[in-house]
Amino acid sequence: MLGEIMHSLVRYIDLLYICVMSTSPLLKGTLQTIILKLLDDNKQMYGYEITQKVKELTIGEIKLTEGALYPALHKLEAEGFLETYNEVVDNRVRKYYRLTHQGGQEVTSKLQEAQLFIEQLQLLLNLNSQTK
Amino acid sequence: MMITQAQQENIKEILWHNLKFRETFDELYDHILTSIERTETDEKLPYEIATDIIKNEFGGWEKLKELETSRQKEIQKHLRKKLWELMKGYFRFPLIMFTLLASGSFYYAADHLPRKVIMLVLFCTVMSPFIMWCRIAPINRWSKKYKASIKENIGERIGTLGFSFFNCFMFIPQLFTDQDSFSVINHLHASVLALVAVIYITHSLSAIRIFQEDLKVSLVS
Repeated sequence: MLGEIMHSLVRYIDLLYICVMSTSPLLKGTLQTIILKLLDDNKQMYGYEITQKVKELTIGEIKLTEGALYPALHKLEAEGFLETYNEVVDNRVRKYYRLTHQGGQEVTSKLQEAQLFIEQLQLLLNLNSQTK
Repeated sequence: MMITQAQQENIKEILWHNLKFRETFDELYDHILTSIERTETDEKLPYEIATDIIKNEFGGWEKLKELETSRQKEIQKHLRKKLWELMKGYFRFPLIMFTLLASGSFYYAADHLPRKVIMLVLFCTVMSPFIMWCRIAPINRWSKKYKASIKENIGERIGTLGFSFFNCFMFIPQLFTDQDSFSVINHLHASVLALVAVIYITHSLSAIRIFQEDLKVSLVS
């Protein structure tokens, strides 16, 4: 099940790559899902680390701007899906984000939602035949 | 790129003067310094890179102000909603059993015990969230090194709400006059007092839960 969802998510990243002409509006709707999934995989991350991870996973094709990332992180934190803790690194405070129990449950539901959306998008736009 | 202490202080000062809340300041300062440290070229000065990040990645100072405002609103909205939901929970099964028991006991106590005792109980009830706020309350608020925190501000509002009402309607009127007619607590009917107590108790218990779960503050160390 999770494998299928991951496959769909990778496929969605591919779709985003194909639709590179307007990456940001497409990305915006799934930003929370991407953040939740990254935190699910990496346990805890800080803002800069998330931007770099997205860059690394998409081989530099998707660049998450800080102006979009932080509001999404703050929203997820306010909604109780993420919690934060501070660590002092090189004499400065580093804020780490991690999933709460509620956030852990939300990952599965968001991934399922994303998978369903991708499948519908593929059907609607007939992308399977076009991308072959 | 290597960044000197003086360059770090320079960036820190700019951010300190332009950002309102500690949470945003800490996060941004670390983000910018990490970005600069991982920059491989030395073409630009750290200050210039920091300005570029603020302008290009965050959308400028105005966008940062918007980010702070929206963050404050998001947290406020969530905590107010949660407080309200928790309070409503005390009027639904199974917690309504506790509420009914508390209101019945308070009605009986208000009818049989001296009102000074009732006042003391009410005072202790409103003091519990206030004490929790005191644990995170800034003592250096007027210092130049102090930066307001969103969570502290919200904690202050939640922690002092019951206390303020108690002061305004029950405690302060008695301070300024000896006339018994100004002593609200002595004239309230036991049923009204039981209602007031139930509101205070449910609010205080809900506020304590918010302090523990969301603001990570406990009543005892």
